[in-house]
Amino acid sequence: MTAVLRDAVWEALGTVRDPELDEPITDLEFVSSCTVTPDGVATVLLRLPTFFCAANFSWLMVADAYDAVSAVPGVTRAEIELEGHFVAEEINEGVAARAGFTAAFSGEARAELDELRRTFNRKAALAGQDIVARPLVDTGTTPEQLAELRLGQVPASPELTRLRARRADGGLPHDDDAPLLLHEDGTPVTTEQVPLHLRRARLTRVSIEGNSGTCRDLLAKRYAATS
Amino acid sequence: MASLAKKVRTLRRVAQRYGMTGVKSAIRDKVNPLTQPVVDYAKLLPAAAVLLARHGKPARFFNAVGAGIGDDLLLTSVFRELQRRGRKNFWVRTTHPELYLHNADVPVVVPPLERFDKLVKRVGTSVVYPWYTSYHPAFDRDDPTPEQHLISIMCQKAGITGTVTLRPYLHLTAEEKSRGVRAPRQVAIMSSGLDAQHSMRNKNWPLEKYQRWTLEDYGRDVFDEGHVDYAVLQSTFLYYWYKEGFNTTKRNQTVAEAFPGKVIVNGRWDPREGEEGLRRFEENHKRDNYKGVKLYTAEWYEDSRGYKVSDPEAYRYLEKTQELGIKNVHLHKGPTIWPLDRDAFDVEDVDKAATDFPELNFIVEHAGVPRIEQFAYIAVQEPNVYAGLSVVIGAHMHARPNTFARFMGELLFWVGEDRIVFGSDYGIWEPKWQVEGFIDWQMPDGEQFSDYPKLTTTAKKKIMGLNAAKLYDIEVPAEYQIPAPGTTADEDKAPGEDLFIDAGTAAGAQA
Repeated sequence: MTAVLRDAVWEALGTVRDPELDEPITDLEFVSSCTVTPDGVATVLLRLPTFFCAANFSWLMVADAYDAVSAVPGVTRAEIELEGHFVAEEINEGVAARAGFTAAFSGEARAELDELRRTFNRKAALAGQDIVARPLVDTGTTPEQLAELRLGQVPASPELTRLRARRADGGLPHDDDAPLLLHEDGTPVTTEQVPLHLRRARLTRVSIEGNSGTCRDLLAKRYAATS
Repeated sequence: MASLAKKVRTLRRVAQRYGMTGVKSAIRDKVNPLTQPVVDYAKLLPAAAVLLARHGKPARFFNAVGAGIGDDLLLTSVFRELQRRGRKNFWVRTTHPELYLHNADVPVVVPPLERFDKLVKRVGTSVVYPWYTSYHPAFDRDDPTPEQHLISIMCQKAGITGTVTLRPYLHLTAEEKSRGVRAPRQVAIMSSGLDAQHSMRNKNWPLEKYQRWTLEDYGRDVFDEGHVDYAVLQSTFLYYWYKEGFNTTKRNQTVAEAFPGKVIVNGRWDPREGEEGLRRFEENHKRDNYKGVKLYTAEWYEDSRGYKVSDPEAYRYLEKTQELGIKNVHLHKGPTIWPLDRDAFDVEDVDKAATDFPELNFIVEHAGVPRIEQFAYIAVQEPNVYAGLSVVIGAHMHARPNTFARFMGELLFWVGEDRIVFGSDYGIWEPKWQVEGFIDWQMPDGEQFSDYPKLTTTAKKKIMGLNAAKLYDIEVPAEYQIPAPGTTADEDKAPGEDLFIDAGTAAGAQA
């Protein structure tokens, strides 16, 4: 029973993403341990690539993990603990007390993190267009066709599912009728704009994937002795 | 009887030689072994009775006395291992009980009372004398260096076999912590991945050299071996974190003096220093004649955790910079360390300032990574915005070649070869391998790089020096200048490169 619950908790953790890298914290190996007691207390230890990883990103991941794990049926209490981080104590206590980011960092943080999350969702939604559209470009789809293409006309793929999810998170159109190519503000891309738009989408993807690689390298080095 | 007669004879001899003092001493030596155990047990038994009543009889008793503090600390690994294996019922006798004060792995610490080990032996406890050396009377010293790991020997004595997990354990009291604090909420800057040990080629510096390199090191690493003709030093204060500053203008001047004619020292300013700062900057410029300034927008200053170069206060400084005829503004736009919800390394502010100060050149160091997409999109719109390759090359070219290729491809597309300048981050990385590596580097073949241009020799020349020479008015000998358009036929071209060379040289003529 405990093993089943533990799997459910792990699955819930898989829905928590690094906001900047747009990858699940389980794939990034940010979860260093996950245990569940028979009476339903889930204890999750999180770790990050460096001691100085940005406090706001770190907060988002701990808070999201707390919410995701708490919501698993059968979990009576969620204990999420970030380790080896310069503000681990503030984050752990703030999240456990359900205090907002500004409350936990009174005097130092001036706004909640919703805006930050929106920014990253928009970036992920832009990068996702390169990932989905590039194979189409390679097989000869023209700018005219791309400008007209709807999400429902694109062959199903995990990348497409992800793009839809990011659009949904960012409040952008994501149903079958939504255009594949959208500007960051949600307006459609005209035929003339297609080449530059795709360049921007790729630039954003290169940035996200580049950062992701750096973070993976750093994590691997930092925890080389234990993993 | 015979032995009693012998003792009397001995006493008489002692009395003859040493007088009454000698007799007293001899009697004490002889009597103490009879009385001392009584005295010891009188002290020991009440304490031991309390401990036994509270904790029950221990299975093991570590007689951890008689060595230094370091040995006690090594023992914590043994205790940890015992705990891990579920053998939790043990006591530790030590002369340093404070070392185990907060150690959850030590169940019971007992005071260093005499004969404790002998007492528990009597109740059937196994006593461990965990030391890894023993006195060798023949040599009058401890045994030679142990042939096994010290902890391994200690574990053997404690009956632990197989793999041993080590976990360093440190508990600092509030008082100990406060002694180590240098500033409120002090953080250190981890700039080179020292903590993370990011892979670096040609960099086998010991920590000491990393912490303090000499002028001699600098001359060798940069000018003798590093292929560098001119160095531009970016002065950075960071007094909040570094008592003597990070690399101040003053300290950089000592480098310039040591290598006359080869080093350009940039000034710095911080808009939060107000009128006073503005005045000081002007004075310093009169003294040093700056050609550029370095700005560190994420610097902490009093309560502020950073500023934007588009702030009105910063504009006053930019106006002054322009007025003084200084034309290069380098900005550190790199990874975020502290700033919480306000991201002081955000690049948007450069966009506005670059539009409003068209006579100034804005060189964005580290090309905004990890926000290269933000930087590139600004740079494409602002002709006076440059990409600085410091960190871009150092952290990626060797360690993460595919990412480096994609970064370079994007920079070449959005920013262009005329507005990319080399930077080595000396002190973190040496220029030698970066220069040699970049000269040898080429955009890889393969589908994911197929949209990116190959890098021509012309482009490399610009990036490695000619662009910076223009920014800093450095005269370049004719033989190193780029030949006029149409005379680059001798270059080793990649397929499709002609188009790129044309575009590159056209833009070059324009700049």
